Amino acid sequence: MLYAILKKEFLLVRRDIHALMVLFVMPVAFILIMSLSLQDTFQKNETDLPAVGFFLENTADKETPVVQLLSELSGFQLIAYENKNPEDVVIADKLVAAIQIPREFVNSLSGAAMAKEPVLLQVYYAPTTPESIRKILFTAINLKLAVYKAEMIVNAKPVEKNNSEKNLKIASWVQENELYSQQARQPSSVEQTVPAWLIFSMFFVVIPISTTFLIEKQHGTLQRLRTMPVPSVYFLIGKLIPYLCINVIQTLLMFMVGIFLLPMLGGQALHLSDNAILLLPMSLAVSVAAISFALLIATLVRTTEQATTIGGVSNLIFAAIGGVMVPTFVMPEVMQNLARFSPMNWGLEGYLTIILRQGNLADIMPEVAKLAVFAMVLFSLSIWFYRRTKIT
Amino acid sequence: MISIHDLTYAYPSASPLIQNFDLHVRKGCLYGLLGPNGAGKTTLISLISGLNKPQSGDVLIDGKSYTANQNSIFQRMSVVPQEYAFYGQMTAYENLDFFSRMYPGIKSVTNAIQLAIQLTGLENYQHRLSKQFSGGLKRRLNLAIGLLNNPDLLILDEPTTGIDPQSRHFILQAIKDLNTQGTTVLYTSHYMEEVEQLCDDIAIMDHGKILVSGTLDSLLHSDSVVKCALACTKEVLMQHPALVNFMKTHSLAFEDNCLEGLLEASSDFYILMELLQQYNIPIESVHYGRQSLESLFFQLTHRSLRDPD
Repeated sequence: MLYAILKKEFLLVRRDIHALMVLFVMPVAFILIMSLSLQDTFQKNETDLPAVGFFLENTADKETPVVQLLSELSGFQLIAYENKNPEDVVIADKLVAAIQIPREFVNSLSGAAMAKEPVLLQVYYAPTTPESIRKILFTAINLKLAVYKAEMIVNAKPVEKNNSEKNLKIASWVQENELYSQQARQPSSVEQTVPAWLIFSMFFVVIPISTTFLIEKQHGTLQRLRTMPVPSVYFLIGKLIPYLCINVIQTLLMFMVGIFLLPMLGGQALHLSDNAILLLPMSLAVSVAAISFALLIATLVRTTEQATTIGGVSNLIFAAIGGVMVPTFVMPEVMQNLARFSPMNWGLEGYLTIILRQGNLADIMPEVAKLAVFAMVLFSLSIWFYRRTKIT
Repeated sequence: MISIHDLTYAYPSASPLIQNFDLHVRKGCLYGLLGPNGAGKTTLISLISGLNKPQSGDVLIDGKSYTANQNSIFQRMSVVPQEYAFYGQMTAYENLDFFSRMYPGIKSVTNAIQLAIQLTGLENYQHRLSKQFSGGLKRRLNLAIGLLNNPDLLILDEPTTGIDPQSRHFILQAIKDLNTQGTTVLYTSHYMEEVEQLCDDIAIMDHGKILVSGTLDSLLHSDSVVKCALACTKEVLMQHPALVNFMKTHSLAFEDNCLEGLLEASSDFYILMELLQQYNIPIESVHYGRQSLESLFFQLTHRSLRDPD
């Protein structure tokens, strides 16, 4: 019986070309328009010199030749810190990276100690620092150290020269570290718009679900089904699964638009990491929440006008406060707090955790759990309202 | 087959549409339910078919209540709503296939579909999208879906509204055939002639109440109604004591120049004719025999079946 209901729903969905077009064309159009339009706005800060923290354990080391050389790194805005933990400051001050110069590093490069294995200079990258900036910074540091090395070799005594050349492998002086945090840099336009408008379009299923439900009610098919031995829950599951599949296809399509189509049109490309597989559980969570919300609206309203108005306006409110239309990072604190009440924001934060923060399954679990609870409550209410639907 | 006792039902925030309602439909009967728009027929059907729950009273189907036997009742009952209750984007066959699978009791879905198609004459249309059907074909498909589970009780809510004569013939014939095979049919229609032609028993309802019910013959007073249009005023008629006495004795009424009433013995009819002749009262037209259903309906409800609410 459930198979027959699902088959019927898939058939109806497949033959409703207009609704399908809206569900797929609308988010593609939004992603293209918004990504390309907002590209410069989102990139504004990126054109400024990237800020790099410069951490000295001892201020007296400022005068040493190696520190002086490193403090002249070009292409970066160096901000000096003293007696602070780089791991804390990078995230808090939105730095792309931090260079920590240990006391032993400076000492190991002076005089007789040069023969020893040098203590490493530490570089900490923010989790969201693009690979290109990491490479530029790493190369710039190594260039400065290469200059220092060259000067040391030139100035070294003949006896020491041999040892110095053996030990001074520049790259080995630098240790790169990755910082992890729930806080991250601002997303780029494509990183913001692809998940944001994907979520919006997933929630947009409220329109086709509620209108088909009402058509079934008005045409008497619902009445007919309710005089047949069909459990209510089958009827609603029959609506849920086809749209779950549609939402998964939407996810694949929208991310492909971000990865392949946008760069072809001159926009930024969306880059995904090894954790991209997590987009699937995240999308399923957003999808069941969106469909459950749609089913609740469908069982509550009485006319298609009510469905399109209530469903559409609710979606716009969820989107407006949830960071879909206006990114949360440009919102004042009050609005950022309000955003936490929007299921679209839970979905968006989950996607950004995957895309920007390279989060793992545990990192997205809070958002997945919130969406799952939201879906369960709304789906249960839908069943209750469906059973109470009066047939006139 | 259907037993309703002391039923009361009201929509939310409204006065009761049906109150203290009783109805009994015999097993194997073809029962016609008539009433003007807004009389409560569709609401009554929604209660009989278990779609809505009454505030008080009982609805028993074959002696079973919905509370404990909903699924077994649904297995053996079918409702054909007024609306085209199927999916327009699906073909007739796809619709029949889908709805037949909603009945776990159907042993062979293919056989059930073929039988329903055959009974409603849809053989040549089964693979066409049902939204492309004419009104008549849609009505036939609507009925075909109702026949899939070979029901013991078939509830038809105006199944022939707005259709061509050929489809009407198919539908009425199918209903007759089913009833002959033992299916109990509860039938509402706007078409009196259909009800007269099909039904064994009828009930006329208005304002949520049964005004009259029984067999057609008993309700239409077979061979006993007189209706006589006269070319004279009431004053002229009242000048003749013998005629006045006859009218009183047989409870005949004179309104709008028409003498009306029941004369159970045909000899009384001849006496009346003789009296009118004797007093030289000109007769414009005369009817003596079975009352029409339409006139009974109008007499009871003071409304036509198709009057707006």
